[in-house]
Amino acid sequence: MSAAAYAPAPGAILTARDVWVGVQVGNLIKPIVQGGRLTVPTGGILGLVGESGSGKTQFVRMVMGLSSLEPGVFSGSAIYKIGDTEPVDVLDQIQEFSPFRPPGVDELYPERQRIGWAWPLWRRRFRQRLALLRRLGVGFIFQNPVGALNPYLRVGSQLVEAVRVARPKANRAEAEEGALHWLAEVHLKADRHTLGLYPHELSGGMAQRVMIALALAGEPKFLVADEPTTGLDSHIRLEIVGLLNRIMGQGDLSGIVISHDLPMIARLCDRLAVMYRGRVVEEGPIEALGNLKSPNHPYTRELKERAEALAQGKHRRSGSERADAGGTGVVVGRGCIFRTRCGLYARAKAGSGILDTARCEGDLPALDHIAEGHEVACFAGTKLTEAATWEYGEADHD
Amino acid sequence: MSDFEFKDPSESEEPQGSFVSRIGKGAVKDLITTVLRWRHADYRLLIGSSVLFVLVVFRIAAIFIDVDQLESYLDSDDSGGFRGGGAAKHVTKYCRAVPGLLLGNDRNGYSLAMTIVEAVEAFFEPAMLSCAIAILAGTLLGAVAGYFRGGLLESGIKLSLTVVAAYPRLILVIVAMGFFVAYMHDPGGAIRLRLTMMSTMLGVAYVPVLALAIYQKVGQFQREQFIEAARAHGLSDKRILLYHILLANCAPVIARHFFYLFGYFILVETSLSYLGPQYGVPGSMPSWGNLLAGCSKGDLFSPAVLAPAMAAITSILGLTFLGDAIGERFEKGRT
Repeated sequence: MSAAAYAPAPGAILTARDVWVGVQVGNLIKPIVQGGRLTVPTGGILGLVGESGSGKTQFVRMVMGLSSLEPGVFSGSAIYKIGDTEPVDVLDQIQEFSPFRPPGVDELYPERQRIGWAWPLWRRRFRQRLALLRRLGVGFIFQNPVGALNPYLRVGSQLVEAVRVARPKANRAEAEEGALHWLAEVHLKADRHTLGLYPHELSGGMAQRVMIALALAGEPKFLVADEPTTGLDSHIRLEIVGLLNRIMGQGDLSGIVISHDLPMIARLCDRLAVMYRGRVVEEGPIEALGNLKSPNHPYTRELKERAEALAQGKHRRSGSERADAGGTGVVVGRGCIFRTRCGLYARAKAGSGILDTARCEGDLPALDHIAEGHEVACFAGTKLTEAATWEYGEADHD
Repeated sequence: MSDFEFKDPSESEEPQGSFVSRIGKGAVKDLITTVLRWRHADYRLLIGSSVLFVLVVFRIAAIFIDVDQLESYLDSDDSGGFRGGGAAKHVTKYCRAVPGLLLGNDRNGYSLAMTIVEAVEAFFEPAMLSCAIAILAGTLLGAVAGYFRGGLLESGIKLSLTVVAAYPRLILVIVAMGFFVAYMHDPGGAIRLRLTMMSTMLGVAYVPVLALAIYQKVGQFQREQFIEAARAHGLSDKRILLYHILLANCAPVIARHFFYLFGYFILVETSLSYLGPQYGVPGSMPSWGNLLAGCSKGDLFSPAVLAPAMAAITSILGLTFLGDAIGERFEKGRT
């Protein structure tokens, strides 16, 4: 698809389409995000869930321009429309400049293409576009706050810098005032002592709060939180979720929350996207997550069941888990990538299902509308409601 | 009434007798504690900073010392030295103790101690210049190549650094100095020019060492999450490179190499001056290398050999210690 074909979705602050991300393994490029797509409405918070290795963090990092992988992203579009500004596509013309092209239908791996010396030039343009994006107001909360703070600089220096990015005309004293303000915002002691601490002198919870303060100091309009509660104890986790809830609930802040923690996603987000093995398999309203009886992709259903089981203190071993417990982005060839774990597929194989197994084995399902604002990548499509009814009875419509 | 009885402090039983017994066991304990505490002190920092302090003091003193204006204790017939002048007062054999002269006299008959102090002039500023050249060029090239990886810029810089690094530094400086002096109109005259040439050559020869160290460090830091975070917070490439990587994280490397090169310059200057006036400092200028060059086999254990040799060894060792200690302190202090 040519770059010109991409357009921002109406009312969306971020529209990402057909994003391919890969890592080099020996001589091969292993795709870890395959045709990823997201839509974040202005003022909305999207939750991105999926098991470890499903590519959610890499997908969002590439869309945010935080490339730490080579060759990184090699196809797609990520259009930001922030406020009244012109839309900015950070991946504009990526496919023409990238040394790799996405694999075709019958190909497992992307192929190298001749681009000469243009790739470094594109990277430069990419960074320029990202700098523009940062000025427009995009923030990021990292998963590992201690690693994301410069160990050789005091908290104060780092906060003052972030304040100055948002307010370039602020002098040192004003920037320090700003830093103290953001410390108070994240419920840290706003004094010179805290500003003078080095990252290794902070506890996990304090470091995460400083990380959030750093992201907020840029006065973002679009904020991404990458597993913000990972590695924190339950008490601190609750505090951080409460803090994020307060921050994301105020004003016109939009964003993405990446997490494994479904209850947290349900509390913070308006919409949900589910990734499995580098692909977005479902995108829809958060209500679809909260209700077990609502139609969902079989993988989302599995996630929900496990979260329920954990919450109720029991662990149910599902049929799909027996078949395949891994999820490291391995390309399984043609057909639906989830079929080896899919309960619906297993039932259809046994002769009593709603799925056409030949189709599951031959084609890759694309995201398909099953309801207003709800897309699922499954051949069952609207019959998923029927599947939910089998297992859980009639859906609640109140 | 309570059993408590007020005791006048003046009537207290203070230990009587000798000073040692008066200061009591507490003071001895304090002394032992102090010694034990010193055991954990960084001796490299202590030795290194002392050496640097002495060198600075010598350099300041050298401003006021002009050995040529002092009395010469050399017999007028014994004209083996390069520097003339000064009225011969005593007939003394070279490098023998002279009453009133600390360490005796050098081969020109001047005070050896004063000559050693004045000889600091021969390397102090040139070493600084050499360090400035190496740090400026090395840091710039290493940082650019490390930060903008994967392009022609990186390949070009790395190739040129490898070519320069492939040539042994000392040989490079000797060859360059040999050519330079051979084509000079007045080799004995332009001392400052020769020293500038020497420091420039050594600075350039040291650039690859520092540049490759910075290149590796920058490359290593570029993969760190805090650099990614700095980008995410909207900092420019220039700001990240200069402040977050070079100033905050590469300062230990730069500080360490500054002192290494300072020490290395002393070694090179002494070696070249020892080789002869066509390579190093001309004989008309006091230098530790010149002092060593003028000694014969019989003087091997005389102060004229031992003093400049020890001065050079102590300085190089002290500066290397200082570089190590400061580098480690930078790193330890904040992590």
